Amino acid sequence: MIFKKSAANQLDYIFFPCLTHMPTFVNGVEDSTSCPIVSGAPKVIRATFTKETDFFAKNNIEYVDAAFTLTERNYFAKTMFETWGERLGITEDENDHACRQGFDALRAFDAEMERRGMEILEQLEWENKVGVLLLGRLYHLDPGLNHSVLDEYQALGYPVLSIRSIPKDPRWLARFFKDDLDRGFVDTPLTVSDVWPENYSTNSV
Amino acid sequence: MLNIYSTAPLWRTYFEALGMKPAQIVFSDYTSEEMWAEGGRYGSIDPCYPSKVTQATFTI
Repeated sequence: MIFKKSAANQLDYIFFPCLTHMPTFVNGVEDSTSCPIVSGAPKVIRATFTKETDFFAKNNIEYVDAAFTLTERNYFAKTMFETWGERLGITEDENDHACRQGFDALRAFDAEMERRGMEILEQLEWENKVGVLLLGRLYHLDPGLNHSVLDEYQALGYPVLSIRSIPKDPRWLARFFKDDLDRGFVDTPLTVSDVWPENYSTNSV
Repeated sequence: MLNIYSTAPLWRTYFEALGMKPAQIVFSDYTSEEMWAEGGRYGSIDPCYPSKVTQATFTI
């Protein structure tokens, strides 16, 4: 609980960014926007905790819920500087350097996930065993939200992989999409452009 | 919580690159029944449980 953590840790800021656009490994998409409910949640939280009493002020915490895109790096760096420059007393150069470091860390993390995913997949293929690719939302990593599905399968002996741990190297993926590549239906294994009939959710019509 | 699950290395590294120590950066807890029982009453009306439950994370 963050307000309780605050009492223990003397937090200065609660940072809950609104992420409007997320990185994607897929080619040829029109955009990669976040779910609007998820990206707007930080604003709902602000309203919830300031409506009658300002719980942030009461706890001497500043709540920071600025909006960011993760697909336009220069704009990301600009908004991060607008958000943190004065608050942390940093220069624009320091900010930009920290942003680059951040994206490098994200890329390194993805690479490590894919490396471990490939190890599991190659082992499974070698042993002719079955693994499970579990497709979910980002927050399904939270054990309080994923209904223990991962644990259930793993307890039964099936390794569970996330889409993030599937190697994205086009050369490695090519054999799984050989037919589509051979007939020119896609130019790379990561080209996905025919999943939805419309480029918006039919629920929002 | 929410999409911080897939982007945490970016945020953590940003603040560490600016000289913050790991102990100065605290992530919110996993969701639990107890957390929801305590924090669910702070009323947002939202059809999405994962979004709605974030408010419980803040509970005083």
